[in-house]
Amino acid sequence: MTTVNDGSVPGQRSWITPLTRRRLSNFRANRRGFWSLWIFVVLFSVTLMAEMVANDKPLLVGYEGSLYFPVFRTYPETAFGGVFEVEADYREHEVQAMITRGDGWMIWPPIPFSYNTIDYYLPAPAPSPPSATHWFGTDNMGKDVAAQLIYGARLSFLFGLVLTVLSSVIGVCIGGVQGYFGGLVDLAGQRFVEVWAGLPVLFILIILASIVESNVFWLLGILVAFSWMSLVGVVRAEFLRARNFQYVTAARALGASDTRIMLRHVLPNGMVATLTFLPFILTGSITLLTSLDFLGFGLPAESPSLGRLLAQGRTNVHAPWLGLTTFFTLALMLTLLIFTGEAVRDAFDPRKDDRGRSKVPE
Amino acid sequence: MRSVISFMLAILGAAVCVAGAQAAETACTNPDYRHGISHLLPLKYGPEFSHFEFTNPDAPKAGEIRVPIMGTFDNYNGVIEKGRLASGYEITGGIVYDRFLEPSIDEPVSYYGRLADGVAIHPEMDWIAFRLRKDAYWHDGEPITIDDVLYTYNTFLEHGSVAIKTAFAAVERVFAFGDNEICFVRRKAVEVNPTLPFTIGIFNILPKHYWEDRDITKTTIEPPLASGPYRLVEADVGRLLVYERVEDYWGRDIPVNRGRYNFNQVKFDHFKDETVMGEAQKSHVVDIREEGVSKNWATQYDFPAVKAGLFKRDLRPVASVEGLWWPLIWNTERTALSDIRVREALWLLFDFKWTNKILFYDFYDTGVSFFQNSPMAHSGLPSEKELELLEPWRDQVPPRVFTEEFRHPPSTGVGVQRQNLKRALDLFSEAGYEVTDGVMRNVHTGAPLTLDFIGVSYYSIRQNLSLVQNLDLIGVKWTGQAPEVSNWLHRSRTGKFDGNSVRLAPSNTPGLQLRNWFGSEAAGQDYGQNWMRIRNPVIDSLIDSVIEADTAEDLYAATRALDRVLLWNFYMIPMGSQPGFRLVHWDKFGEVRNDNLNRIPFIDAWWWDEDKAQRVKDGLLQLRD
Repeated sequence: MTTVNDGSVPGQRSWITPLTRRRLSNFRANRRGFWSLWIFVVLFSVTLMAEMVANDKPLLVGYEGSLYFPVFRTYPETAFGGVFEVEADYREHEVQAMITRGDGWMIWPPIPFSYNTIDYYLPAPAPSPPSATHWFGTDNMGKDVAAQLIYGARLSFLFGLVLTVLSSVIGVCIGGVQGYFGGLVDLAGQRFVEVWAGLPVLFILIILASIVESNVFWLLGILVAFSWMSLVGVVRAEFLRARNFQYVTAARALGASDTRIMLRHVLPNGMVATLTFLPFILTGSITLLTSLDFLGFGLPAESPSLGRLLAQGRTNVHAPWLGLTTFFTLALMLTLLIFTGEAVRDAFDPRKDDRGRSKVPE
Repeated sequence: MRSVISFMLAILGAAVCVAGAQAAETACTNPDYRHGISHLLPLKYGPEFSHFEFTNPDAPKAGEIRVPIMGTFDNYNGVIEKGRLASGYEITGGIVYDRFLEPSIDEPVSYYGRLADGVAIHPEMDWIAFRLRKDAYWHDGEPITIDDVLYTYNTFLEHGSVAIKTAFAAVERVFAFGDNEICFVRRKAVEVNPTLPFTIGIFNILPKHYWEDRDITKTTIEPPLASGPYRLVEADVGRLLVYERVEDYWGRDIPVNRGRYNFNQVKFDHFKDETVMGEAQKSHVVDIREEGVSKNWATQYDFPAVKAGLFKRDLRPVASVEGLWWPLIWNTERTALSDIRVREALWLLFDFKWTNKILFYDFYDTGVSFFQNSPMAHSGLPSEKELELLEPWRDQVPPRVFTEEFRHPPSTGVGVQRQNLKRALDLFSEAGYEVTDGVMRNVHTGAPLTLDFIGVSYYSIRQNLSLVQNLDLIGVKWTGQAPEVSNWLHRSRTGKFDGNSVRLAPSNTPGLQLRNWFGSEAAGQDYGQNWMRIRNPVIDSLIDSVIEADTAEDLYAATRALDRVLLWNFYMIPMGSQPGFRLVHWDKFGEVRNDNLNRIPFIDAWWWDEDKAQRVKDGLLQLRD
């Protein structure tokens, strides 16, 4: 491996080492992956601002000469001359009439529904087909599909990201310890992993779902508990290989502690494999969450969810907009992530030169 | 010589013994046999009737009917609870056996003799006697004897499933007398249940000589011997059952059967997926079924054969009591919900009109009575007879019982009604709950009001949508979930919920059932279904009046009064009520159309119409081109 001799020039510790530079240019050389990343970043930024894009509250209300920001602050209906002490429902025709009476105006987000807004003024039974009001129609509770896609995509991605990071950290630690110390630790660890991997995750989820009321953190915890295994094997192999390299032996002879050797000298080798895997673990996590939601063992019912939209598409075959829009959203998100992942893999591939061409005949 | 004497003595002794036993036996002496029995109302058909009016005695015996069944089967023995029973072999009814009594489906509760040519009931119902027909025989030609009958009922008592044993719990003993009569003696300690004779009479009689060398406590896939109008000729366990009409069926010309059982072949095809079943019917693999899903009823029946008039989607009114379709019930043991004002406020927040339009395709009727679609339902203001029952309780009954007919709160059909909302907030504040900082709180303790909804399926939760949306609006926190079924049942029984949905389907003979649903005794009991945990002396007394009623008039007065008190106490939020039976079928059959039947008798009273069948066949060929 090249980590040490290919590394930085002493005394000039910029984070853009020549190696990093080569990796970045390799990444860029994969045009498809590079553009996928950009498209994804743009789309994801939009979903990050979901509250400004799809919301059942106006962005800005002018009423009797003063300005209100309902998205950020809660105003009771009485603020607009209503009767109730509770938050105004700006979609209600009577509240709108009150605001108009006070010489008011409202600026609505492009999609005037949140993921959980029920459109009471639906003209047809839910799920109702796409229209000017509901671009992608509504689901079977009269909730806007477009809004659910935006919120759902954001939640899926963030959930997948957190799940990936947590399970990678755990997986790398355990794999590293096993590989570095070897022997009995390795043996015991490997047997434990085998047993643990044999546990039926789905059944455990079903049983737990009947005992505790599921929420995001429960689900995350359970999934982390069962998904850290994917990296253990790779990291362990890297550590097993590197533990007897000369520079590691040298570091040990110089009196470096095990922790320092593992983190500073061996881990960077392991990281290459890890980072290559990461985007694919991420897409796997997103798919996992979606399928759990689809089966009804995922996030609590009031959270936006792509999986549940898909399930609705299955039970409402006469409403193809449910299944199709969700499918395309998921397909787009996963495709972009996979392409990005391929570029990342290229970037870390030591056999490629700085223009992404293979140095060895393939 | 001595031996002859001793022999004669022995006979004499035996005769004395028998005489002694008979002398002590007062049950079933001089039974006054009738051709049929009914509950409260007089019988519609006299002793000499030739056939039920909903049948056609001249119907051709021809053709076939193919009926889909959801699920599967692996057993032909209906006595035990083990296994999944094949359709047709039901222990009450079915199409392969005979039973003492046959219900007439164009009367509320009337039964006429089928295997019995006479039934007699003691005036106090101490005993019930049946007289077996003499000319009945099994499919193998053996006569049906009183031994078979005794064997059947003893088997029920000894090996029967819990359901069967429960049905016979009030029977102390069974014995045969005369040469073809049987007597059921009622257990004196058990309260009289007027439906006991019907319960006994609707069980099928099984052949003793067939079961003697077989084990009736085990499931079987060898089709047992039977006596009825059909015989199983082909079966693929779990998938298919083909029954053939028995040409020399003993009972084909008795009054209760004349004009019935007209198809030469009845075929039950099994499905494990509702959608597949629907598509199979559309492609003419099966003929007739009930559509169980409003969404499909509204959206799935516009395919070419429907437009060509070959396939019919028929909403059939039925005469049986429908009741409320999965109303939302409250656990009145919870502090907040024990207050009638809170329950009334919640009632105001639910919008059925919107729910029906957006979620149910406008299919349901507005549910306004627990006994909807029957004369037991209340209407208008209480009658004099009802007032007689209600007056003693005037101060314990919500005043509106006397002054208003129950209906849903006013609605414009857009989910939120500002008037209702305002009134609900007033009621909450009377009950001690006010909105502070956007959260509904108890004014004394400051604790926020929360409601926990559970339901047997996702759809039970979905139907509360307009209510929970309004709860959000007034700052009441809520959770809603459909736990896995056994968990749901456990939580329902142990009262671990605030709101729940349950289908309590009343029958034409309400009685003990009501005590199980609304009586204080059953409240909080594991066995009971009083999940609302109603403990109300008024309701207990009205249920007693229902059970004690011995004329139809008294029964109706009692059920109507009960209906009013139940609804105006807001123990539940009634939602819809089914307007009829959703029949979908290929138009190949003839029938005597009658909208006053308790069920649609397509298997046993319809017949094959050759012309219509030919039209469907030709029409399908044309559509294919």
